[in-house]
This record gives sequence, structure tokens and C-alpha cells, in this order.
Amino acid sequence: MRRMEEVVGRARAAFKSGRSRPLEFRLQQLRNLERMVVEKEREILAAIGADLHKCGHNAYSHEIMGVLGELALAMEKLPSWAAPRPVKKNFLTLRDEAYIHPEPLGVVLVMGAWNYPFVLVVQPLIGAIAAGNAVVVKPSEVSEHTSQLIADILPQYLDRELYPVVTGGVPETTELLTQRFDHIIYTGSSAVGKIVMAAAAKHLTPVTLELGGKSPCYIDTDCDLAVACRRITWGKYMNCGQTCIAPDYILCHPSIQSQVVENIKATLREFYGEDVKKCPDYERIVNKRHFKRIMNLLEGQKIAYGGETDEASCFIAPTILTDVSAESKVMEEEIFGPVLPILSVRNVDEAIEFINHREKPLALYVFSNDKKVIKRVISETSSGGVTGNDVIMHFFLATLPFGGVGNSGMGAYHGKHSFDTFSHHRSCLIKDLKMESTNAVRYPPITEKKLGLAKFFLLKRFNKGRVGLLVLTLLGIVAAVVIKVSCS
Amino acid sequence: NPYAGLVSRLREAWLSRRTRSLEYRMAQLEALGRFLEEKKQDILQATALDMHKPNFEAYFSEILLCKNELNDTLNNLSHWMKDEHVDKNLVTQLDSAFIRKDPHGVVLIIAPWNYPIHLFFVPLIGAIAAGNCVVIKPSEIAKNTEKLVAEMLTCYLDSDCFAVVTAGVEETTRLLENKFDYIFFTGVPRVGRIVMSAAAKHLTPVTLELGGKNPCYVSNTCDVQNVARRVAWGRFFNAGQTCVAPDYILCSVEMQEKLMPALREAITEFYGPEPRNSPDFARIVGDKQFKRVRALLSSGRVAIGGQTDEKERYIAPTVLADVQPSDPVMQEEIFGPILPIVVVANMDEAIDFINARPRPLAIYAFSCDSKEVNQVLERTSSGGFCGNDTLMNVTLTSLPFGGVGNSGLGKYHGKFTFDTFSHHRGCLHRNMGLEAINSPRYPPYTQQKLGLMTATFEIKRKGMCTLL
Repeated sequence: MRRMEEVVGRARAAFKSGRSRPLEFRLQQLRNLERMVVEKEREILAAIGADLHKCGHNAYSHEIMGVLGELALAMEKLPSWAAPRPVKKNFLTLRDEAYIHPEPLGVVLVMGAWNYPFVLVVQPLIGAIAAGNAVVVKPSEVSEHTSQLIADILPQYLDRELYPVVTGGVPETTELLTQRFDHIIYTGSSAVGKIVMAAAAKHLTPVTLELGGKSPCYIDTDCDLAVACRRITWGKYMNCGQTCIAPDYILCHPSIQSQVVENIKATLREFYGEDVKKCPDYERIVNKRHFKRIMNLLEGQKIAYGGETDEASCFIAPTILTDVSAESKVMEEEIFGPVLPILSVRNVDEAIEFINHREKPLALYVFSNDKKVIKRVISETSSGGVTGNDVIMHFFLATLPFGGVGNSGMGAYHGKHSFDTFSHHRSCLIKDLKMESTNAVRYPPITEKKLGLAKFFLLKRFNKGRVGLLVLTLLGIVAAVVIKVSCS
Repeated sequence: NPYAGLVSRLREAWLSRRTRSLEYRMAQLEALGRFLEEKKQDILQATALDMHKPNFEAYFSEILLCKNELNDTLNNLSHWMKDEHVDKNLVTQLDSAFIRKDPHGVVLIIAPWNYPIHLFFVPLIGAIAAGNCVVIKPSEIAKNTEKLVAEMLTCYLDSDCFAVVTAGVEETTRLLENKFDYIFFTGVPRVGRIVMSAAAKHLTPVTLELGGKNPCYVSNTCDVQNVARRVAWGRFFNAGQTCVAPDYILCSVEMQEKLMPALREAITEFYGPEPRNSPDFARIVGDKQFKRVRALLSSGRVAIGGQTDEKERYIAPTVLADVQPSDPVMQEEIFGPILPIVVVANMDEAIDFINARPRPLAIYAFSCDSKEVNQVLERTSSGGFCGNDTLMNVTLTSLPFGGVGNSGLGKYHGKFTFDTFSHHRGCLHRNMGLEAINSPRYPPYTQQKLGLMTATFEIKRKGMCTLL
């Protein structure tokens, strides 16, 4: 297993050479990455299709489009993101330079997931390259076609030493995690997230963990049910429910439960036709293990719609469960499949209490015509992110940080947040070697007079006005001159 | 689990939502201000007993800097708490998109002994400002300050939401078994690893403010007397027990010659001919630490100082010359009033020397030539950097304070403390109407729909004509 040590060692040596730092180099690599996505589009769509039975359109809109967007954003904004950021100064530092200097961290490890196997590896990669790092890319072995493709094409377009791809399963990943990295971003389950963080702790490596959980979806009685259910259906059953921010379960008043079911049924027919199994736009469960896991969750449940399965092709029809009990198996773990339980709550208070008694989810959804209800749910709960009156969509806005909280993860990325995550924000204060007199106040031996002057110069006042600031500045300059004269 | 009761009590208070309103947070912060004001003398006394901390130093770091941070937060909290609206793409133009600052929940602050008030107080300001409940664990090594904090702090704060725990190593290990929603730790890297491993079990995010050996490069072109004063001040403040103190000097053999008399003059100017008698010079905090630092004196050659007194835990402001990289004093963070000078041929050698070692909390570079200062900055990596002075980079509340690599992860001070203790939650509040805009995303998929999606979701490169 010395291979991991060699690969990471080479990446580190390449980083130390300094060549990943100049902006022009980073932009060149990003341009190459863009070329790769455009030139290899067919192969990428085919690989994703082979892994998840995903049609070309879906694969394009879920994975390629987002990546091209991030690339365009990073290439446009990189000079401004990477520039030193001046900060507000105080009296003593008025004549100095004070700024935050974004710098690369070093060697970043990107660990992808199998459900969106291309974008979940490439989107972090974009941010890590933009920030000037070397990046070790480890796609998920479960999505084996995409993983192999990435291993084949990335070295054809990017610097091979700086951005190596490592493939393999659990033993290889375990070995990889013993190496020292300067940041690790992992997308996957909470259980493995703990293992990743424990490995990182040995090297004091900062981590970004994009995990999961059960993302609740509350439907208020005051709501356009047809629209709400269409949006929920879209988000729940895309990628056959294998989406970390899919609405996991619905909370609603029992009186609207049957209407919700009818609306979702109608939408499903609209989306996938009468025979969903034949529809090219509907995906499959990624493998037999997950198929069996989801089947297990259906045990003892009241199936209001769907429930058809075919183990040979890992097909599970879009399924709705009603009158689900909070203690049932399907409510214990993230479903990550096309099964939608509906639970009854009497009002929004109960919904909020229900949500707050569980682990903090990655996403939270609330549908209501009443803005106040939406505001209340957001204010009285916690989650990685929120979309009100829709699902999934907060993921697509790059200006919003995307990440979890509590059990659903730590840290965030997308857009500028990626750049900031993969950078070290180094504070810099550059002073003058002259003007020593202003320093005299702080040197021993300490006298009452010095103490008084120190308080005057340094103490921030509560609620000072702008004019006060100007006056104090002028007084400060005068005092500096006075001290210089009295000390000489 | 001896602390389970305490943590669950705080968690219940947290669930009651009491800490959320701006008024509540401001009231608690103002109470913290009163603690500083009313207990000022007790703080000066306790820190004097703990490590003979000079009144001025204690006032500067434990009172004045804390007051600054507090006032900065009080002045800006309502602004920091507001939702931050973000730019939208075409498809979300009619929606509301913002970042909400949510508190984490019940957080733990573990503080060290060298600035025993400051290093729990400043994180505490941000933790309260962000709306959390807090468990504070002050250092058991600074015994008098620990006692003060345990007895007096909670009288000022809401004791349902804020608790002080006094604990040694064993008890702290038990404390860390509990689930917290954030852990803020200041201390040594070795313990930082232990804290992060414990946090990993609960997926608790952490900020680790650690340490290292902070190099101080002195170029040949500089005002020697000014350099000597600024470096001596930074090194001997708190008898060297400062995480951002200049740990060792890198300079040419000629500069070492020039610096020595200048340093001697600065030390005499600061502490008089007999520093032991100066009220402005501190002592080592404990016998164990005293013995450790004293052992480092057998490195290179004692050019200035070197006197010690075990009873008083006094080590004189000391400068060591002709120190080799393999000497004991160069193997660990000194954390004492000893300043080794390591000779290098030139700036490039100094930079290579620095880069061959773990990344420190701070790097200092002194030169009249700003290009040289810039070179050191550009070609090295550290938590923070200060050109032509020491320590001052951590007194500006607008600069983030934190380490990188072995010297730590995360940052705080000013708004960064508030941000550290908040979860930045991406929120998109969409329109329930205008469903037609969404139709391109729904199955059944067609080429036409894909084109529309691309047009509304995509971010285009500026200056690229779409007709092409």
C-alpha cells in the first residue's frame, strides 16, 4: 500500500514546487477541466447512465450543467477571490497595511459519493484548484463506471502530479486516510464521516463533511397543493430518491393526506407515464445492497401507491406510504430511495417539535401560502439549508453556502464558499519600522501616565459616532506628536 | 458520565429558545462587561498570584483587549445577526435568497492558563453573541483565576444557560465524552488532537487554537534599536508565555553582532538592571513548566541573562547566541523568556529554514525594505503574519486570528468569533406561483426543455457572445 504514500507524496512535492499558485496556472487548469467536460460529455453521460440507469438529459442537467456553471463562475471571479482583502484598522494601525491574504492550504483530498458521482467529485475539485491547492481525487467505488472514467480522463487534461485520481474500495480508502492532508472534503454517510474526522484528527486536518439525514417536508393546510406536490414529486423521485437533499418524509395535517397522495399520483403519471418501469427518465437503485436495504424499510407499511419492485434490475417504483408511525424502521434512517412516508401532525407547532426532536437534517422544506408560517419554521428549527415552497433549489444557487450542521455535516462549499473553504485566510499586518514613538506607550517601565495613554488609544468605545471617530483620530495624531516630543 | 446532568440541563435551556433574542444576548454581554469592570481588581490580583503577571500586562490583555472585543460585538451584533441577502441567478430572480445565522446549540470552550481570562472571555463573547448556551472550562493550572471564574462569573450570567466547570485532565476527558454542538479549544497540538478525536465521535465541529515556534526574521537593512525593542517586547511579555510570541530569531552573523547590544539595551530599558526586581516582568506559571524551560538554557551560548530562581520560578530575560537547529531550545515551542538567535546566510536560507518546519501560528519579518518583508510573506505559510513588529496582528479585531496545519484550524476575533459559533444556513424562499417557470425541469425530458434549463440555470462567462 505504499502506492498511497507515493501518490500523496508526489502531489505534495508538486505543491511545494509552487507551480499551482500563480493565478494563470490555476485558470489554465480550470480551462482544461472545462474542455474535458465539453469534449468528453458523451462518455461522462454514458458512465453515469451505466451506474444509475440515468438518461442523458437528467445526467446533463444534474451533473454537467452545474459543473460548467461552477467553472464559469470560478474562472470569472478568481482574480477577485484571490486578491488580498483589506480590513478596518484602529488608531494605532492607521498608517499600517492590514489585510487578509487568501493562500492555498496545500494538498486537499476530495472523496466523492456514488449518487451524483461526477459533480460530487468535480465541484469540490474546481474550488480546490481555484484556491491553488494540489488535489487528490477519490471517486466512490460504488459508481464504478464513473469512477473509472474519471481516473482515465482527468490525467489527460490536468497536471498529473498535482491532481492524481485514486480508485479503490474500503481498504484503499482506509490507507489513503492515514496520509496527511491539509483539508479533506468528504461526501457520504454520517457513519463514515466520523471515521474520516477521526483520521483527520491525527494530523489536525480541517474537514468539510457533507453528510445526510432525513430532510423533512412540512405541507401547511394553507397551500396550493397541486403545485406543492408537483415540486415535491420532482425532488423526491429524481435519481430514484438517491439524493442527499431529497425530501425524505412529509408532515401534514391528516385532513389533507389523501389529497397529497392523489396529487403526487397524478404528477407521477404526468412525469413517467403509465408504465414507469419502461420510462427512460426514471432511474434505478445503484446496487443490490441498497435495493435490499430499502425493501426492508417497506416492511409492515401501508402502501398507498407504488410498491412494485424488480430485484434483477434494482427497480423500485415510486412509492407513497401513509399513516406512518414515527417509531417505524422507515423513520429511523435516511431512506435514500423512491419511498415517501407521510406522517400526520395537527399543526405547525407539532411539525416543528417533531423536527427538533431529531438530528439536524441537511435540508428542510416547508410549503405554505402564509409567509409567516415559513418564517416561523425556519426560525424555530435548524438544518443545513432550507428551501421554502420548493425542494432542492437552494443547492443550485452558488451564492448560498451548501453544507450540513450537526449530524448532517460541517463546513460548506459552492461558488466562493468553495474557494474560501480550500484557502487559509492569513491575517497580515505590515507596520513601519519608523514611528517608534507611538509604540513607547506599551513598553515597560509602566507609569500611570502610560496606562492612561494606552487606555485612550486602544479602548474601543461603545456606540461611538463617526464624528467622534474623526475627533479621536485627530487627537491621536496630536498625542503621538506630543509623546515623541516628550520622549526625546 | 459525571457531566451528563449539566449538559442535558443546558440543552433543555437551549431548547427553550431563551438565548435567541437580540435583547437577551445583549443583556448577557453587558453583564460580561460589568464582570470585567467590577472584578477588575480581583482579576489583576488572581493573575498576579498565578504567574506574577504585571498589572499593566494583565490590564492590557485581560481587561482592555477583552473590553474592545466586547464593545465591537455590542456595537455590531444586530447587524451581524441579520439575514445576509445574496445574489440570485435567473431562475431565482423572484425569490428571496439569504444566509441565516443560526446558533449551534450547546458549546464548550476550553481555555489555557497563559491569558486565563482573555482566552475564554473572547470566545465566550462570540458564543453568546451567536445565541448559544456555553460550558466554560478554565485552566486548572492558573488556580487563582480558575477559582475567580468559577465563583464569580456565573453570578453575572444566566446560570441556566451558562456554566463553568473546573476540571483537571481526567475530568476534562470525561467532559469531552458528552455531545456538544461546537468545541473551541486553545492549547497545545498534542491535546488538540485528543479534543478533535473526541469531537469526531459526535461529528462536533471544532476550532483549535494551537501553537508552534514562531520565527522572527531580521534582515540586514533595518533600524536595529527599533527591531530590538519590538522583538524584546513581544518575546518577554508575560515572561514569554504567549502563543504568538516571537520564538526565535533568524538573521545573519553580522546582524547577530548588532542585535546583541541593542537587545541588552532594550531589556535594561524595560526591566532595569535587575529584572527580578521589576514589577513589569512576570514569572513562569508552575514548577513543571519552570523546569522544562530552564532545561532549554543549555543551548548555544547565554549572551544575555540566564539567571534563574526556582523558588520564585524566575527566569531572567535571556538571549542565546550561536544556537544550532539541533539544540534542545529549537525542538519545542519555548513558551518562556528565552530568545535564541539562529544564524542564516541570507533571506532565502531563512525562508527555507521556516518552510522545512511545521507551520507556526505567526511569522515575523523585520526589514526597512518592504520587498523583503513581502518575500517572506509570499514564500511562507503561517496562521498570521506581522511585518516590522510582533504581537500586534492579534490586537486588531478585524483580522482573523487562528493557525494553519499544526498551529490550528479555524479562526476568531471580532465578527469571526460570531461566525465561528454560528451555522450559516443557506435559505431560498420561493414563490408558490409562476409554476410555468419550473416546467423545463420536469420529466418527460426533451431537448427543448434542456435548452431552456441551461438558459435559466446557467451562469454565463462574461464577455462571451451567446450567438456564437
